[in-house]
Amino acid sequence: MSEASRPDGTRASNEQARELLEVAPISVVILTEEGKYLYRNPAHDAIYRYEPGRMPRLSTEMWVDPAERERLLEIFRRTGEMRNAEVQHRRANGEVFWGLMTWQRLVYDGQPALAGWIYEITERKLAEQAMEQARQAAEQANQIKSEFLANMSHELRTPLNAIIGYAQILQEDAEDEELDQFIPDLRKIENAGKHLLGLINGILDLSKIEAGRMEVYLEPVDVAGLAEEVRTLTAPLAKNNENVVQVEVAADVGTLRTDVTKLKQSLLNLVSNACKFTRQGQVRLDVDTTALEGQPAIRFRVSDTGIGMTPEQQAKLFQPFTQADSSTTRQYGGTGLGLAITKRLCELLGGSVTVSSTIGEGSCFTILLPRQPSAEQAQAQPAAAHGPSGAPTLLLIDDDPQVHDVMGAMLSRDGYRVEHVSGGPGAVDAVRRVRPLAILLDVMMPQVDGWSVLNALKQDAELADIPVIIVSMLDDRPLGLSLGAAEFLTKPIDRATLAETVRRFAGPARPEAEEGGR
Amino acid sequence: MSLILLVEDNPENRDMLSRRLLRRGFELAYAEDGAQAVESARNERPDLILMDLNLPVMDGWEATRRIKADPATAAIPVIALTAHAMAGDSQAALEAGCDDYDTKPVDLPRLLEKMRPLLPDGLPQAKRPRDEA
Repeated sequence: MSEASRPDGTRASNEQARELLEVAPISVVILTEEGKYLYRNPAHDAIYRYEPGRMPRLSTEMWVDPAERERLLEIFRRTGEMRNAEVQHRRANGEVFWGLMTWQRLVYDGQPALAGWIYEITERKLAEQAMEQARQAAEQANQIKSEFLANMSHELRTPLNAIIGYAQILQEDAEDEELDQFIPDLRKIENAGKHLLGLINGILDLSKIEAGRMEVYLEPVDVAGLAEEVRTLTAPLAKNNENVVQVEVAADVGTLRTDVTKLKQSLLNLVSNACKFTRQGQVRLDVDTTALEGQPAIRFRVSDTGIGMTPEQQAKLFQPFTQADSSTTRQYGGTGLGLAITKRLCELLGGSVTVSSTIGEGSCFTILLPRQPSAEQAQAQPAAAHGPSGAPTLLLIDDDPQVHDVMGAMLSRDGYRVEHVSGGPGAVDAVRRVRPLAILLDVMMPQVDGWSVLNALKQDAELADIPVIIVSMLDDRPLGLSLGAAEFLTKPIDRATLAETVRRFAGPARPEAEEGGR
Repeated sequence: MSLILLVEDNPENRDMLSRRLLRRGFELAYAEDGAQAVESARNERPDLILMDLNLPVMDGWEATRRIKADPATAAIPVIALTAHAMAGDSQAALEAGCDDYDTKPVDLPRLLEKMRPLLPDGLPQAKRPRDEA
């Protein structure tokens, strides 16, 4: 169309707009309020495989999931629009396709009308589904592997406990009966058993960490108290090699929010190593404050005046099953797993461990931990569960660690077990894994908000029946319920309301609690 | 003399721990599952309970909750014995009402130190000549 052929500018631009619609790759339709076609472009007929020239009949049967249609219609009625809904429709030939659909109201030829845009996304959805299936298969395989390892290590441990235990009993018997000549051999059985047990425990720890199944239980930790405990626990080892262990904690260290069991395991490992590789020397544990990536952090330094290491030895120090030197194992014992585990534990806690050493002069290991693990860190590794395992389980999805602390404590006091997820990403997977009796879901979360999580849950046939209790700052009760939530609670949470609501949807945690009323 | 209720389903573990405790002058009662433990706690009124957690019929957490919920047995101290594999178990044990916990395999001197403050009469005098010497 040339410039000259246009009678006036406006008319030309309408024509041009119409032409744009005719060649658009996106389906465009305009309907009356009653659902009759006012306009549809060729892309619309192409997507639905309508025969050119024949007027198709609009029908609810084009929806693969009629319930989804009802849900989207409800949103449209309430808000006057519907944006980017991913829907499955049938073509005229019965084939099913995925479309990205937007609807809104407008005035067309002076009449109120509805305009709809549909963009076909079947290929993308199929690719996504294939990826999701592959990911689930991989995850399941990984889970089976770590369950196998956990079971196997339990099976190995049971007979090993008997070997160690009876070796100890026989040593005591031998002392009583004055059969002292048997004692050294019995002690060898006990020590070999304990070494094997250490290996099994180490492998179990490593496999749990690598499978992402090591739970992190964050709580405030008194650093000075912990350092003193480490000194007491390693005192016998220090005495063996006539070492002096000194602990110094700077006055401003105070408390640290971390997993005390994992930090203690790491520190014990470093101090035990220092004692093992030092004779008649000094081992120090110094703790002070510093910064890690701009955040307040605590620094633990374990230094010794021992044999030290070459740069080559230091390079492979944190790999599993490698000690600085294979002859080291014979001379000093150990499993070769301690530092590999320590490194992974420190990373799990959002920190790091590094080494500096000079051969013949000694070594210094430094653990850096953030005072407060970042939200990102907490997200990568959900907090440990509150409450006893085996109790009726709930899943709490919220980005605020404080909410997890408070609600986890409330609900575990009521006898429930609470598993934690600290954000939208991964929430649906967690639900699939935990299969809770009910879900407590926050709405305002970064990346993926609660509405999206709720939507995804309700679209999953296996998970749709699990009651979801929305816990939100804003009172969006009608929206929550229309999206399929079972109940809607507003923050701050009232303890009694929470208990009553959870009880209603998940059932009572303890049978006795009911009997107690009589 | 202090009476200890040992709750353990594995016969070897039960045998090992009971032999070593008898040798140190304790009296012992036994239970092989959580339900028996609740029953024995009521009938035997032990001075202390050593409770394995992974038990048949009723697990150790539930047994502990019931013992602590019953006024007749609530005052009896319970030490949970947890396996290393289950890192969260010790926390769960305390939440179920256990007074303390120790990890298996049992390190007897360490376990005795945990038992000492929970026993009204402290640790018994050992019967063995070696310990008296």
